[in-house]
Order: sequence, then structure tokens, then C-alpha cells
Amino acid sequence: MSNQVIPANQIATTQQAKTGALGAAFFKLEDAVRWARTKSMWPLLFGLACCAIEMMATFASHFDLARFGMEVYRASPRQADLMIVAGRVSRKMAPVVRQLYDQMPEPKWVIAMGDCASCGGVYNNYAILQGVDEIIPVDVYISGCPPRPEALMYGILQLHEKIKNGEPRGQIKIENWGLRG
Amino acid sequence: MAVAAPVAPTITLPVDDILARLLSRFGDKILTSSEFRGETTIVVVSEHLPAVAQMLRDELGFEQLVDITALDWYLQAKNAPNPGGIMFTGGDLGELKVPARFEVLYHFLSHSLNARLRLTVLLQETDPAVPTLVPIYSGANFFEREVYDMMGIKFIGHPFMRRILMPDNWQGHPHRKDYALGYEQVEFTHNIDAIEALKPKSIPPPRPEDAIFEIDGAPTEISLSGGGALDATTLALQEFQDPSNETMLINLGPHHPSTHGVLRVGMQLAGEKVVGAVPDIGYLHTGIEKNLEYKTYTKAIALTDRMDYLAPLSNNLGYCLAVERLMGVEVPERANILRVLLCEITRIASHLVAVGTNAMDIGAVSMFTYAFREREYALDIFEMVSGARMMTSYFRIGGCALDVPIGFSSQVREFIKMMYARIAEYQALLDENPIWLERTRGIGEYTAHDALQLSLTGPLLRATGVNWDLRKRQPYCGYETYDFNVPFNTSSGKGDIFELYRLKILEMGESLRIIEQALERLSITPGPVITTNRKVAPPPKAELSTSMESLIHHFKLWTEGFKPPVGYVYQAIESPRGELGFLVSSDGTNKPHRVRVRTPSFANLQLLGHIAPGHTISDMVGLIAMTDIVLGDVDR
Repeated sequence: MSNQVIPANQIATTQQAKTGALGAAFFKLEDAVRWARTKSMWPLLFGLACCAIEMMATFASHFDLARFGMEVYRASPRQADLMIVAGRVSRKMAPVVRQLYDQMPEPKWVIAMGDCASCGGVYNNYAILQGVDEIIPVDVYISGCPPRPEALMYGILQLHEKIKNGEPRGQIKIENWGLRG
Repeated sequence: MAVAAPVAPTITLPVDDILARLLSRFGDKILTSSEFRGETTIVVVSEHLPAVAQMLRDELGFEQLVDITALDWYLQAKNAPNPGGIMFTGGDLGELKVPARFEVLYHFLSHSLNARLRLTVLLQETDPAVPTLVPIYSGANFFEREVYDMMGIKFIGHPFMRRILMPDNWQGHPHRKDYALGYEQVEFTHNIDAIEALKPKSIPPPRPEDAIFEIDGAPTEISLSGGGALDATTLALQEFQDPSNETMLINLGPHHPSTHGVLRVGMQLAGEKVVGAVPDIGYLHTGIEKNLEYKTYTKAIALTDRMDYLAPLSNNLGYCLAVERLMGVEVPERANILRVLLCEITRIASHLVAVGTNAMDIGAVSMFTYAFREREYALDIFEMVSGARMMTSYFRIGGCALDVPIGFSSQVREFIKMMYARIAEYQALLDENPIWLERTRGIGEYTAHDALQLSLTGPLLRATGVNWDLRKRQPYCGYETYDFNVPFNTSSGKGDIFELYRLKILEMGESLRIIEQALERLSITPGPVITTNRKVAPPPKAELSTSMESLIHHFKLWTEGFKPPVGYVYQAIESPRGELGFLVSSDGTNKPHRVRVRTPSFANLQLLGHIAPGHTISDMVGLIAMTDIVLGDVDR
């Protein structure tokens, strides 16, 4: 019994939750922590371009991101643990994005929303960073220009899965990018 | 059935008269004047530009300087002595045989004459410089800085000649023809050192103490003639005369202040009062204008979507109209109706976001959720016709990409019916809400004089009582045949946040009226939605298997595109934010020589630094929302 892991989402039925008779469950502390992290993610209130409008649409009334417990956008990076890079990152904005990322407390995750944030999109030019993973590690890439709200939701759910399964974090391409003069 | 090609706006103005008066005054200081596609261009010797501009403003009634931009005739100058017709030949400069490389274009607009006029100045390659027009038209401020940033042309006497879009330590001027589009190669190596060598060096994030308020002791804020910003600053300072009470510099942004994108405002505060505010932009600069030069004319449409991402269809339309005028292409009537219809839905969708976010910034969050709820219905319509919710790319040069699907009309009808009720709902929510009124009435007041001086257009201009709407005054796409009103401020003559909100609500209602009429016409107007000119628009796919001609046209269009005649046109439309102008310059090849986009947000943002002094810091988000900027539109 003690070795058996009960999936966290099966701990309590609605009826049990209502009566408060939650009973008991046994599972690894690690799994409990991971599960808790997926249920209380606070994204950074931070948008860049067109994708930010779709992100707003996603947490507005029609698509209602609150269904996934994701609606608490924090304006301060100190209170956020998920950065959704929604839009193209310009060379001028890149250091700012990096600083915001550095200001977020661990553990933290990054979703690159849309083609521009993922790889530069249609803009292979002097102004745009060819993917935000040049400067910060990205966990989930969402394609689309801009991705539909459903795509963003799917990306968020994928991130939840990743966290629950304890998969390794995304990789940054240039580790000390922000430190160079 | 086809309507006439969209020629220049119906100008009944005495262009010849204006020219004659200019010539009699300046004579040999004006090199030449020419007309192309109904647009008059006057070439002026650079030293006399301020005097000519002064006369245009004071005597000839050109109230607004709409745009300043520059063209780089690099190849033409290099290939001299056959420089494509641009050469210093006369005037005070004598017989210079050096071909001009740069051409600076000034677009003037006269409300009273309903006319446009373009001045150009030709400049050589070494140390290009022109006198500034900021003392005459304050709105020249941002435009001149942008030309300096992008083309490297200095404006002598400009109070704040610094880069505006690119970082301060940027090397080179991106819009010059000898500047590469981009230098980042596709990674064929996994050697991180080799890749890293190609990456740009990082620059430190901006700090509040970055000297954005003073450069060499000169204040950066430009006062309008007769006080304005400086007066408000003095007033705010007088309230805090205690010498121990120092002012504080803080950053608003660039990390998304309020809900309007990556705008950075450097603010100087005395306590809670704003003493000075300088917008710093470029954090979303995307190089779209440069990218457009590397696409064929048709393929460039997709990039125009992503500038003003709240009104992508307006962008498509402005660009298509400009190229159509350059080419002299006729548009079928059904396409024109569709264009009007969809652009008005765009206007509603855009105003919904503007009103919703404005209210949310001030604290009325429910307004935001209401607005986005309705916006989804508009996006559904866009998705229905184009397959995409936001980046539609639906208009083509010569018409529209496809005809609308079955069920379109009924969906739009439902949308209209719903919107009338919902607009009433918004008004019930906000119009008499005491908190909303307190936070918006009299906040950010400015006058018509300010608005004209600062090159403001759209609702911002109309809020000061100026009745100017391009749909009425210089109609395109057959707007003159629709019955609608242009709401403008008839009472106070001063714009503020509430007035802007009121106008946007009224404009939504007028747009619904236009949509109703367009829908009626659509049901009785059959026909193609794109021109039958095979040199511009591809033939229907079915024809390819039966006609060799069609196959050739199709192949040529998609591999090479078409080649417009040499020259440039400026086409302006009324986007939800104001005058959206596309200057499309062709050098006779299949790709644009330059596409300059005069975006309304870029000019409108100049208002912020002017109205902010004297208000409290909590009003700043309201003021940003009032200017209704879209940073993609500002930075491009």
C-alpha cells in the first residue's frame, strides 16, 4: 500500500470534497509537489505582440483559462512562475525579457507562444531574435501565427504534463547571453 | 460590373494655384514639380524647406504634416550617369552632376482644401542633412527621428536627434539599401561558438536614469507654439516647491504597462504628480518595412497584417489600394463591398478592445470581459471568410482572395443584431458610472490646435471637434455611396478620455449602419471578387487545366509576380486609429523599392508626452489607453 501511488486527480470525488470527508491518500512527496505546482501556476502578465491579443482572448470570457486554474496573471515577475513569451522578441526587447526571466523565482517555466517566439517566424531580419530560446530556456513551443486559444491551452496542458512527469527543463542555447557586455 | 480604378481622392483643389503661389514666392528655390497618379510632388532645395513649409501652413492652409519619410536610391545613384531621373540639376546648387542618393518626402494635408501635397528634398550620399520642421509642425518630431534612425539623415536643429526605434548603440541605419536585411544564418553547424559569433551582442536593459530627459542640457519635450506641455510642467513643479522634495525618475514599462504592449515611458515624478513623460519606443520594432522590400507585391500582403494586429484587414486594404493605384487596377464592385463590410467589422473589433482595455486599466474589469466576448463573434466572421482569426491576409491586389462562404450573411446579420444591444449595455455600464466619469472626464485634455500640430488623426483628432474622416473627405472603396455619420466632438472643443470613449462607442454604431447597407448590396451584387486582369490576379484554378495562357499567367504570377511602373504613390485610409498611409515606391522590378507605412499610432503617441504633465501617476494608464496605440503599429 505504501508504495502505491494514487494519481493526485483521483484523490477526492466531488461529493467527498463537498462533505469534507477526504479520506487519506499515500504518494511520494515529490509527486504531490509536482501536482501542486501544476494547479497553482501564476503566469507573468506580459505580452509582446499579436500573440498577446490571443493570450488575452484565451483568458477572457469566451475561452476562460480559469477552467485550468491559470487565470491569475501577475504583473510582477517576483510573483510569477510561468512566462508566456507571446510575440516577437526584438533585439531591443531581448535584454528586458532576460531580466524579467531572471527576476522570476525558481522553479519557473517558459512557453514560447507562436512562431516568432519559437524561431523568429516570418521575420529573419536585423530586428528580431530568431527564437526566444536564444536567451531563455523554453519548455513548450506552440506553433501558429498566432496560435489559436485552443493551441495555447493545449500548450499549457502539455507543460502541466511535463511538470507532473518530472521531465527535464528546456535548454538555453547560449548560457551566459545576458552577461556579456 | 466594375467601378473605375481608384484614382487620387477627388481633389477639386487648385493645385495649379498653390503651385503658382509657391513658384512666385520661391521661384528658383523650387527645382521641379511633377504629377504622378494624381499626386503632386514638389522638389525643394533643402535650405528653403522651412520657409516653404511655413508658407504652406500659414498662407496656403496645410494644417497638418502627415508624414515624413525617406527613400534610398542607392543603386540608381551608383549607376550614374543614368540615375533614373533623380539628379541635382538646378536651383541654388547650380549644375551639380552628382546624383542624389536620398530623397526625403514630406506629406502635407490640408483640411480646408481637402488636398494633399508632397515636398521632397534630394540629398547626396555624404552627410545627408536637412533643416528640421519641428518649430513649424511639432508632429515632425517622431517622424524626423525615425528617418534619422532608419536612413541616417540628420535633421539640423531637431531638439532631440536620437534613435527612436533601434537601441542607442546600434550600428548602421537599417532602411538603407546597403544594409542587409538580416545577418543571422540558418544553423548548419552545432558548434555553439560558431553560432554565437554571428549573434548580436546584448545590450543592458534600460534604466530609469538613462538620460532621456536631458541631452546636453536641452529638455527633450517639445513645447507646442504657445506653451502647452511646458506650462503644465511648470504648474506641476510649483506644487512641489519644497527644495527637499526632489523629483524621481521611474520607468513605466517596457514590460507591458497596462494592456497596450511594450511601451516604455520614462517619467519624472514630483510626488505623485507627473512632471515629464517621454515615450520610448522600438521594443517591438520588427523591421516589417525592410522585410516588405524582399517580397513580391502580392506576398507582401501577409506581412502587413502583423503591424496593427487589432485591425489587420485595414492594413491589408491600405496596402492593396496603394498598389492598385500604382498599377491602375480596377476592382470589381463586389470586392469593394466586401472590403467595406469587413473593414467596418474590423473597426468594431478594434474599438471593442480599445474600450475594453481602457476600462480595465481604470478598474472596470467586467467591461474587458464583455468586450472580448463580443470580439469573438467578429473573429468568427473573419475566420469564416479567411480561415484565420486574426491574421487574415484576405484582401488581394485587385480584389479579395475568395468569395464569402454560404452562411456569411446570416452570421453578419446576427452580429449586427447582437451588437446594437451590446453597445447599449456598455453605455448602461459606463456612461453614468461615477467612478468611470471621475477617472475620465477632464483627464488628458488637449485642443484642436495641439491635435493638428502633433499630426494626430482619427478619433483623437475628432475628439477635439475637427470633423475629419477620410471615409467622408477622401473616400475609397465607394464609401461615398454609404449613408453614415462621422461622430466628432460638437460641444467642448477639447478631447479627453471620456470624449474618446464616447466617440468610439458612437463609431461602432455608425459602422453597424455601414455593415447593414453593405450586406444589402452584397446580396444583389453578383460577380467576381477579384479583377480579371491576369497580369495582377491569378486565373481561377479550374482554368489551368484547359488554358495554356492561364497556366502561364499563374506560373508567372507565383514565381515572379508583376512589375509596376516606376514611381511612388501614397494611399491613406481611415483605420480605426486614424490615417493609415502606405507609400509604395516602385523601381520597376517585381519587388517594392520601399514600402513606407505611415501608421496612425506612431504619430498619435506623440500626444502622450504632451498631456501627461500635471496628471497623477494613476492617470497614466488611462492616458495611454486614450491614445489607443497598438505597439505593433507604432514600432512596425
